[in-house]
Amino acid sequence: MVSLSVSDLIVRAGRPVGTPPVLHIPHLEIDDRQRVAVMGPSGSGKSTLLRAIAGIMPYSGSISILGRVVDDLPPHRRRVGFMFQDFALFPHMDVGQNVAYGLRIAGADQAHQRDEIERLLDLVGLDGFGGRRIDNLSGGEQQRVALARTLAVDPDVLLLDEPLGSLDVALRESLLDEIRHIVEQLETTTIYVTHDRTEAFGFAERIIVLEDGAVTADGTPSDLWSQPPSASVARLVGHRNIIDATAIGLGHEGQVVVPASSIVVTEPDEGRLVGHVTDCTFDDGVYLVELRLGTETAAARLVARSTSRITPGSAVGVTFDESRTTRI
Amino acid sequence: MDIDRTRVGPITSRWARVALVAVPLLFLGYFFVYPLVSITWRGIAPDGVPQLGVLTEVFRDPALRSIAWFTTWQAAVSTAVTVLVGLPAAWAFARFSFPGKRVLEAVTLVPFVLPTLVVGTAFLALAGPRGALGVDLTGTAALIIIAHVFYNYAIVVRGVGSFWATLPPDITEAATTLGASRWTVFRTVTLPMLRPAIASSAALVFLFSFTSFGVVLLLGDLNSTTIEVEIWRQATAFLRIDIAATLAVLQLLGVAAILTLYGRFQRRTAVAFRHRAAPLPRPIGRTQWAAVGLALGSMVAVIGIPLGLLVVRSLVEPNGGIGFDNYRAIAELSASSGAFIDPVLAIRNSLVFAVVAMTIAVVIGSVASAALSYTSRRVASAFDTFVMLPLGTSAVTIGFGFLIALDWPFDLRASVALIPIAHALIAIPFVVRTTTPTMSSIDNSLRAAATTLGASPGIVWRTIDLPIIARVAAVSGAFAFAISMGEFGATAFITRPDTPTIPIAIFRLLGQPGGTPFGAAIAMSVVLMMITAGAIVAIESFRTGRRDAW
Repeated sequence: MVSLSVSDLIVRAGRPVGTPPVLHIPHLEIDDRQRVAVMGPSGSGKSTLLRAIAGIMPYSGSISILGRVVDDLPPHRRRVGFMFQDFALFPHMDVGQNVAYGLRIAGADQAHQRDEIERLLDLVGLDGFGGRRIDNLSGGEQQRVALARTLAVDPDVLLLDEPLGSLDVALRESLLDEIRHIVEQLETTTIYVTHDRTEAFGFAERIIVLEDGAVTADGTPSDLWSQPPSASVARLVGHRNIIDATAIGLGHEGQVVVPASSIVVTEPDEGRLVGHVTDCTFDDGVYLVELRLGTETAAARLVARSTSRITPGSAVGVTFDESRTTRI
Repeated sequence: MDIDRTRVGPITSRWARVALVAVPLLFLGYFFVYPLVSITWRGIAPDGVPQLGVLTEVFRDPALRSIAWFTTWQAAVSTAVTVLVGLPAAWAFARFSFPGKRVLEAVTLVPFVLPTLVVGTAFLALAGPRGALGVDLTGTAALIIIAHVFYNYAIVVRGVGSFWATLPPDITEAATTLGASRWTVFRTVTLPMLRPAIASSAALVFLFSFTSFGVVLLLGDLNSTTIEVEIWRQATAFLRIDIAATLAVLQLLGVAAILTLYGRFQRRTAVAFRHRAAPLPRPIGRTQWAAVGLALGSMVAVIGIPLGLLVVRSLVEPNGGIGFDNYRAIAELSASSGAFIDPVLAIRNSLVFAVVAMTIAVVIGSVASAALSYTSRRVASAFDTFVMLPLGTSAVTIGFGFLIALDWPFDLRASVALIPIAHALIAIPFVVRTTTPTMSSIDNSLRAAATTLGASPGIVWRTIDLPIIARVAAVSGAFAFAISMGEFGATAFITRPDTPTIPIAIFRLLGQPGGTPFGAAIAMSVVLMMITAGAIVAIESFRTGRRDAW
């Protein structure tokens, strides 16, 4: 079943007709219960897409949620849950009041509100926080309150706009897992906007890449990694070796993506190619070796992995698994 | 066609925005700009034709020339002394946390909100003809300057202190690691960084000392007096409206010059350092504790001694005994038909006027704040300057302007309503300054968040905007109330014999011979002080829970 469908969506956001719009999506469907990450550089239109769906940004075209066209509905009738990057917690209310806000608006009675506050705070791991003041919370706690508040109204679609963007790196990983577990458990269709590929890969079953207001890639994380449709998408999903095919002696023209893990660094006379190490850094258990390849026709830079440190300046042999390269 | 259901800002209609600007514009236009223009025209053209006769007379008059000179130099000295005395306390507040800090911060507000007449009376009780010191220092520049230092102390402590707190301590520490001694660091790093804050505070202190009325009226004499007092005296005692108007124009020019300087320095403090406020440390070691203690102790002494003495003096009865005779005199004077001052009526009037003035000021001021927060930046910045103008204009000028101008289109000059309107006019800039930061800080994402949670625009306004604004509106209302209770300069012009306010009654009582009226004046001052202190307590309790300091 389709949870969200978008057709002929154009957001101009004040840009004059005749110039490219901020966002243009001819067609997009998201299945029920799907976890989707929308990824792209800043200014690519990711947040704009969420805001159009929520109805807090003017657009032309049509958006349906659970088969219901929502274009004529004001934002407060769309039943979407929106989580803002800065959390947008209400400073004049305590944690419980923030969480129960949507229920209060909907006219829920006090007892129900209390039960829900308890249930939701428990869900996000903040039991007992109901009476706390907002300004005494840490960033991670604020993030959880914002999530609980969004979930309280049982939205049809959950829209998360850079939900971890204002938190420090250490917190992000653990919170990302938590958010994923919660939405998995609730089986809510979720769109997660981020510029960070580790967040996108860590969260989503499907990744949509936006560049300059248009969808340039759409697929599972592994599809996007193994078959990036363009150099820029390859870079976005984390590839570092996007080079001319001729520079590594392949029998065709054009650019190829070579995963760093497919490259083996050997003794200078054992490799398929010869390169010079220009830099060597240690990260995530392996050495990342930056190489300069020189052939008659072209020069190229490559990043490879190595289990041992190689002194910059030394010459090495380079072998790679041709079957793992991708033409783009 | 774009579907636009998306304006989550609170004011969506163009006409509503126009109204937001128009309401304060019309109010200030009629009650502020029009009277000022009338005064100016009177000053330039007393007989309807522009002429230099009165101006020449003013410049030739040696008495007026000496008053202008006295006004300027006493303001300069008052400013210099206030800055010097205020800096240590500013430092202690900006750099340290210590027990009782909140209370002490509230204490610094006291003199600033205190009515000028109470300050004047307090110093009369200290060094007047019947003062505790036994020496009559009235008419000396020293007493006026000391009173000005007392009165304006808070401006330096708060103005410089809050800016000082935003300077990252790392910068001074960096200078220390580069080999600079503590004094060198202060001279070469701290002081230059503080300069815009010191300059803008100093400009304000200078402005308030330059246009000082109540304090100088009570503590000065015919020679040691300010232009402000002279305007009043020329207009009400000598009935020389032309000279008063000319003096008012000259004073306005001086005020405009000071405000221009102030604006320039103020903008520079706005280029502040973005410094995440780490919790402030306690003073370390005996030397720091002693320095902080000394800074704050002297502050408490400067503020506390005159006020404490005023309270003590109010309990000294005319016959020399200790008791509540002075307070009883308040009621007895009202009861006796012979006395032409009715202190109880004055208290009642003041309370009524203050409530009305507070209401007007909060309504007009909040609308102005909304205009500043919700209109385009270009409109807002021009409008901001306009709304702030009454802050710089002296109270006497405002009262004088009412008297000259408000006979058109209706003769309002005899109306009682003028008193609360004048008070509201003076309070509006404070209301705007207090409410605008909060109103504009309500992030649109808060409204958007409420919307996506199911709140319609009306509910968003009721549950998000209103509760957040209500608290600062209450703070600004308490400010307006206190300002109205103590207002003297404008009221002195427009009051009628049967509508005295507390400050007017105090002033009239001080002008009467004998110990009983003097004692009653002191007692009335204490009453007024208590009412304004109550307003401050209210302000501080409303403010509790707000993240950003005022």
